[in-house]
Parts: sequence; C-alpha cells; structure tokens
Amino acid sequence: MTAVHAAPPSGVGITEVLGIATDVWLALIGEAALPSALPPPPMPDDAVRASVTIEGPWRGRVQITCPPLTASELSNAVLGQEPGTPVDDEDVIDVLGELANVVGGAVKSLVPGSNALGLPSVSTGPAGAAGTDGPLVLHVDLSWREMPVCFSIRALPPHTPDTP
Amino acid sequence: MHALVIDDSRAMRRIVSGILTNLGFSTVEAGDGRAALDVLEAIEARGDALPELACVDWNMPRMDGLEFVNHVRSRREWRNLTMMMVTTESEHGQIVRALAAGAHEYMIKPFTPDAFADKLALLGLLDAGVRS
Repeated sequence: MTAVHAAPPSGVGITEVLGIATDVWLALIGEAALPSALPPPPMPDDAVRASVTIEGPWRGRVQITCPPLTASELSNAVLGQEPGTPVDDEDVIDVLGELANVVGGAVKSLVPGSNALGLPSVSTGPAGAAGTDGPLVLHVDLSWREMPVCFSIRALPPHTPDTP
Repeated sequence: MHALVIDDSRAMRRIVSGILTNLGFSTVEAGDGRAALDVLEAIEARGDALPELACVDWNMPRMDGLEFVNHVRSRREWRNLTMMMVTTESEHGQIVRALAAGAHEYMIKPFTPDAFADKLALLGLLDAGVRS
C-alpha cells in the first residue's frame, strides 16, 4: 500500500482557498461566496460533485460539492439566466465542471513544483462515488445566496508502476 | 472585428463571447482545437474573412489549445490570426511554452471583463471608445 500524506500541499490553506473562492465567484458569477456562519447540514445523497485532479510532485483532487438546487442556481447565475430557470443536466455538468476547473487551476498555481491539471469530472450520488476517494486534507464550507457550497481537497497516492 | 472562441465549456464560451460582443466583436465558437481548425478551414473555403482574434483554452479533449496554436502557426495563410490563451494554466513555464509556440497574449482564468479588455487593448484589437 502506498502512503498518502494527509495534509494539503504547502502554501494551500483555508485562507488561500477562501481567496480563490472569492475571486472565482466574483469573476464568473458577480457575487461573493462567504464562509458559512453556521455549520451547514450534511450534503444530500444526490449532491453534485465537480472535481479536477492535480498531478505532480503532490497528487490530489480539488472538489466542489453542493446540493442539486444550488448546482442549478449556480448554472443559472454563470449562464446569466434568471434564478429558478430550469436548467438541463448538460448545463449543470458544464458549469460545475468549469467552476472546478478554474478553482483547481488556481489551487494548482499555489502548489510547489511543476504540476498538471486534469480535465474536470462531474458526478452525482452518495458518498463513496467518484471524487470522494483519498483522505480529506482541507475542507471549507461556504454559503452563496444562503445555499451551501463545499470546497474540499483530497490527497491521492503518488504514481507508482502499479498505479498507472 | 471577428473572433473565434475555443473552449470545451459552453459556459465559458458564452462568457467570453459575451465580453467580446460587448466590445464590438462578432464571434464564432468551437468546443476544442480540432473543431476550431474545422471552423477556420470552412471560413477559408467560403472565401470569407478570417477572424482577427482567437481566444484559446488550453486543456481540452481531442486537441488542446497548445496543439491548436502550433497548427495555426504552421499555416502561412493564417499568420494574421492573433491568438490569446484563456486558461487556468498559470505557471510561468506554461506561459512561456504558449508564447514560444506562437500565442500572442495570455489571460488567466478567472478574469474580469475589464481585465479581458485590457489584454485586447494591449494587442491593439480594441478600438478607442469601445469600452464603456
């Protein structure tokens, strides 16, 4: 078994992730996402998970998780549509994937060394589905329009000949 | 002015196209580098004017942005196309790679409409008085 360092990469902490979240939300949505004042309720089983991997001296996954309603409203906001406008799954996957891509890129820029960003993947389903593998090394609960959005970073095992 | 917006995210294509439209550009879109080459070849085949600007994402399926830039630079008839990478890739080494391949400017996501317009002004692609 390959050991996974259960710590975020140096230079990446809650302050940095909050700064990234603020920049991304302001640029793509025009509004801020704020730290949750109260502990948010657990994510529902059908939560939407959008993630990208960082591959390099440090390997990990940057993930955004939110309930389906939040994902729909994020999609409306990014696409410039009125709140409550019905959005199809394709738009939700596209928007959440791009949010994860931009957040992941910003996190990657803080990670020492030369790293590569994977293409985004978006899934829904209970914990244990794709995107929840690896130990959690950083977790930030945010609130946007009083809806929960979770940013998390998970460490992945380093590549070895047995882990292509 | 005409611009080609290349990104695998429809949302990002819409955002970039919206900014460009507000700045007076007409836009066409492509979902990856291969599709963008097809767009350019189709425009050429029709005898229409080629775009002056291509906004190119880096990480895309099928053909990424760097490969697209290399293809464009290998075609003499497309030498007047100004290419701006619009990407999350922010490492110095990656920026140097893109510029060395032939990209003219580099815009890191996330960006604001004003920052985007500033880059276009640097490239000489923004008419005075367009920005409001």
